[in-house]
Amino acid sequence: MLLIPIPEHGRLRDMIFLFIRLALIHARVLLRNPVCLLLSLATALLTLLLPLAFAHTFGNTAARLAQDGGLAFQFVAGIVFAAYAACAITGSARASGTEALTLAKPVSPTLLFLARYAGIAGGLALFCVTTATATLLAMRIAEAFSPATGYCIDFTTATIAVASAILACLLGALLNRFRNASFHASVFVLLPLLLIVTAGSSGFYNRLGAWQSPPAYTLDVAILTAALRIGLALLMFAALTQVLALLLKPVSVGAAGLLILALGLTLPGISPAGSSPLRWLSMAIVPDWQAFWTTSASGLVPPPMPGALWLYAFCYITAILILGVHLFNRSEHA
Amino acid sequence: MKQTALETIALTKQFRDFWQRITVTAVKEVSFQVATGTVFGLLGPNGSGKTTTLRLMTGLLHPSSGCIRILGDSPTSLQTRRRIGYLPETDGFYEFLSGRDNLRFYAGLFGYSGREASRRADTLLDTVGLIRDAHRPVGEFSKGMKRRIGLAQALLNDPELLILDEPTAGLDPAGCRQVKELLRQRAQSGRTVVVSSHLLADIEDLCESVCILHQGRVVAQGRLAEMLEQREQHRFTTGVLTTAQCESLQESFLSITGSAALMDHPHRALESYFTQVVEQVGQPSS
Amino acid sequence: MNYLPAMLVLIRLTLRQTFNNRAAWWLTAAILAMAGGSPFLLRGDGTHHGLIQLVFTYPPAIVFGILLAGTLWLGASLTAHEITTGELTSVITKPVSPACLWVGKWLGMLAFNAALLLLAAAVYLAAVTVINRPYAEASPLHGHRVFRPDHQALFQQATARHAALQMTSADAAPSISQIFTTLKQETFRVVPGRSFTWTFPIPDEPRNTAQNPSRWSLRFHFRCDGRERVPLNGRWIVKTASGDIVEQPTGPIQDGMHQRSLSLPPDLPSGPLTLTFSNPAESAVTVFFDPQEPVVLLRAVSSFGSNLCRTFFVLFCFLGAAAALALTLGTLFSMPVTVFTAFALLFAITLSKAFASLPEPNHSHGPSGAGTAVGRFGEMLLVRLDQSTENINTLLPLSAFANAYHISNHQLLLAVVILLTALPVLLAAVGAAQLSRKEFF
Repeated sequence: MLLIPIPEHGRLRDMIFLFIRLALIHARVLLRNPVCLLLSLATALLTLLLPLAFAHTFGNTAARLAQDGGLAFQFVAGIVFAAYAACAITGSARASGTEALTLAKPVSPTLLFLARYAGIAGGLALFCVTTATATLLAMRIAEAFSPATGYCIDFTTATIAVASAILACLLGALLNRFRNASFHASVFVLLPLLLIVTAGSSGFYNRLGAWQSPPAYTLDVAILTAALRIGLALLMFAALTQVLALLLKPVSVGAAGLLILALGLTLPGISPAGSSPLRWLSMAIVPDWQAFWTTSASGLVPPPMPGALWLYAFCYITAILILGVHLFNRSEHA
Repeated sequence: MKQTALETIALTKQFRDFWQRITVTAVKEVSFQVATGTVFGLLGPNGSGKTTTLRLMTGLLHPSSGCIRILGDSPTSLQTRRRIGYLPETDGFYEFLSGRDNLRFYAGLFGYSGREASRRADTLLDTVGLIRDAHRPVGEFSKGMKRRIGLAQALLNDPELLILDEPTAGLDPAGCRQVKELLRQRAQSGRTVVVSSHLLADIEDLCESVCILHQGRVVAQGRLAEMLEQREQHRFTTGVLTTAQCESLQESFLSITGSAALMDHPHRALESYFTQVVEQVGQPSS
Repeated sequence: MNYLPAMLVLIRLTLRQTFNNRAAWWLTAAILAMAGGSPFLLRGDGTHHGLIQLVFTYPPAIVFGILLAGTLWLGASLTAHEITTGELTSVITKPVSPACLWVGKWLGMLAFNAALLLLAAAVYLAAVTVINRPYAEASPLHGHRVFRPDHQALFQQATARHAALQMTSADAAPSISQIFTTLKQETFRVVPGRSFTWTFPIPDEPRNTAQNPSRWSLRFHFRCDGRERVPLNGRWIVKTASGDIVEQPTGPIQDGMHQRSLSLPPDLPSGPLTLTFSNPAESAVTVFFDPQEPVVLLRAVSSFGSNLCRTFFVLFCFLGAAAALALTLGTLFSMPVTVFTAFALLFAITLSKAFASLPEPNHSHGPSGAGTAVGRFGEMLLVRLDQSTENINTLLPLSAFANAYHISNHQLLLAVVILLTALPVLLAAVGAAQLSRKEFF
């Protein structure tokens, strides 16, 4: 049996439109979910405030700690985000009967499943933009030395960045009040936008808050590639949890997701090193999260590695989604 | 003259959004009285405000304006809650508990001792026909069974006023008849029953007086018998007549009134026919 | 007392609900594994003292963390989830007041937590006893009363410096506390060829008897900064009020953070006790004593079991407050939002401990980092957050337990008053008020 039906000539366009429509509706469901917004907001704030809580730098620069902390928050909160999104979308669609209703229309289960994943991926992408920008700002906030200012924390950027998160909430409230727009969705979208604006404006003042013209940026944008790789790992986890959500209840999805995460972190340590078949097998079953995390050391990544990671993530996600489509096609929609 | 068990005066309920803007007015200026010892029906199409009115009566929602007196007291007072029974539209049982344990739990909330709670639970399980399933978790029950157990929990304290939201929804005809019989008996014993339904046959069978709601407003209310009576027409009911007797009667009507009378065979209600058939099939063959 | 039977019914139901929840069984399994299994899996620095330090630190903290997460989850499900599913609708129409409903559920949660904590404490006690058995004679486990050295002179110096700065400086002077910490940091820095002396006032009260000999010891927290990677070979000299002198070499100490103990004779006389640390001139190592807790004099006052019970009782009080928080938040928000908000609140309180270090000049950054008014405002907010949550953080007994400090009756009383009475009463009032005005759709 073919899992993905090949459409007749001329129907492909309709199918693509249908896919986009379904993906958008699922992304909207996610953006309107308060927990997703809370996760995004809390991760951004925590990342921004992190440089202020360093007591010891253990020989590293504070910016390096802020970078690692921010990426770690992105990974951990992203995992919660992906698992929650999969459970919320699959679970609520089943409980409310939306799934049965949609499948009673001329929509193939394959298309619905893939569009659902695309919706989750969209929400996750927006989340990653928020956290990556927050990490970028946190690195600027962290204590650093410059001849002009000496050792100092950039409290000005910290305060403006936190204020921009509050402003996003206020704007969301105003949009809800006067335009009836969803508060959660508005803030979810406004937050990364305002953080990007904050990052853009940070070039106009120095670490002590003094105006500088022309603007001089001290943001280490190379970190965005590391954030992107973590985003890839999160997409893999989202695919996994979406398949798990077809089989298990939410608490069990969380527990199973945690188990897979732990296995993925420990297996590379105990499986044989190098490119032995056993190592490849373990990486094919449980994602090797470490492979994505080591790349956080921007500048130290050997050139072929990012390409190999993209290929690995693509193959893994495709395989998991094919398995998911197969299970979804076989499942009964009560 | 009968006493008033329940009274609403200009009852209004508006739902508001976060910014306190009115999103919908579910109930508008609703006023009616329910006499003690009667069965009162709230009728109306979907979205007419029946469930909202019942929830206002039980204190689950708070009126935006107007007032409700239940048994002479406020609906939120604990004294009132001690004297009423309520069956909500959706069943909210602890699904991991058995039917019996659920009833024992609710009985405990009325302060009954363990033994008394068990006695009441068993009696009511027998009354609603679930004594054989008493030890099964409620989560395994069908919709009709949940409705029955819901009715049992509403009757636990032998309430003076019973408020039922769609009590026959999901029940089979035999169950419906059983429930209706139970409610009639309660009214006969001086208890008051308020029923909301959009099933007209149920209301017609049960209620002495009704209130019809439409878009949150009262559009008609009064004694059901008076409301349904067609004073411009008459009906005679006789035993079985021969064809000759029928023809003779037609001629008489024609000569007296100047127009022919309508004559046909009366129909049984489908519910009564269905119940009879099911009972016949269910009887063991001798 | 009309409400009592209904409350008992609610407590019973809550217990059945929690134990019926599959998550509760996972929770129990995880707690037992952590309390009983993890002490055997920990690997210390090769010394018995190091191992015991780890066993005291990690398993109780992990057990508490798991129980806290479980309490927040289950507490939220008892209100927020029941409101969503309609279970609470049927209950609220019965003659039960919202306050009774809240308290019934809270007491049920307390009973559940008490059962799990008792189980965890018993398993943990057994595990620690087994681990410590080979060393029990030489180093029995105790809860210790702590005596801190007298820093009155330093404090007076800080006060004087603060007054002088206020007179001379146009900018806002640092606080006395900040100056005090700076002074301690400067003073507790022992370069090669120097020594430093602390004085402890030993009170009359803790006297040993023949039946109950006192066990005295000194414990130091310090950091070695040996740029040449040469181990330190210093000397501790203890002088008691009666003139007895205990002298002991430190042994070779490498770079990094250290904690060392020194046993003292059991019959310490009352009066001042002085401790001198001397760093030999030939040493290439500078020793930085922890400015907050450089050295403490310890006296064993309770058995390990008793101190464990006291610690777990305070943790129980914390869980009671957490259950109250979850129940009340559950009346305000939906289940996922409740769980998230409760976790975020507790996380913020815990994190504020890290912010406590913000104005301290001994860390990687100083208080002068805020250059602009906007920056100063941000800094001020963080310091306020720390100050407002300081009491809650101080009450948490995990750090004291890990250091084998005796959890005093005063701490127990504070935990009962703040965590098990004041906070729950406040939260119950909010929760009950919210349940009264809540509309059930």
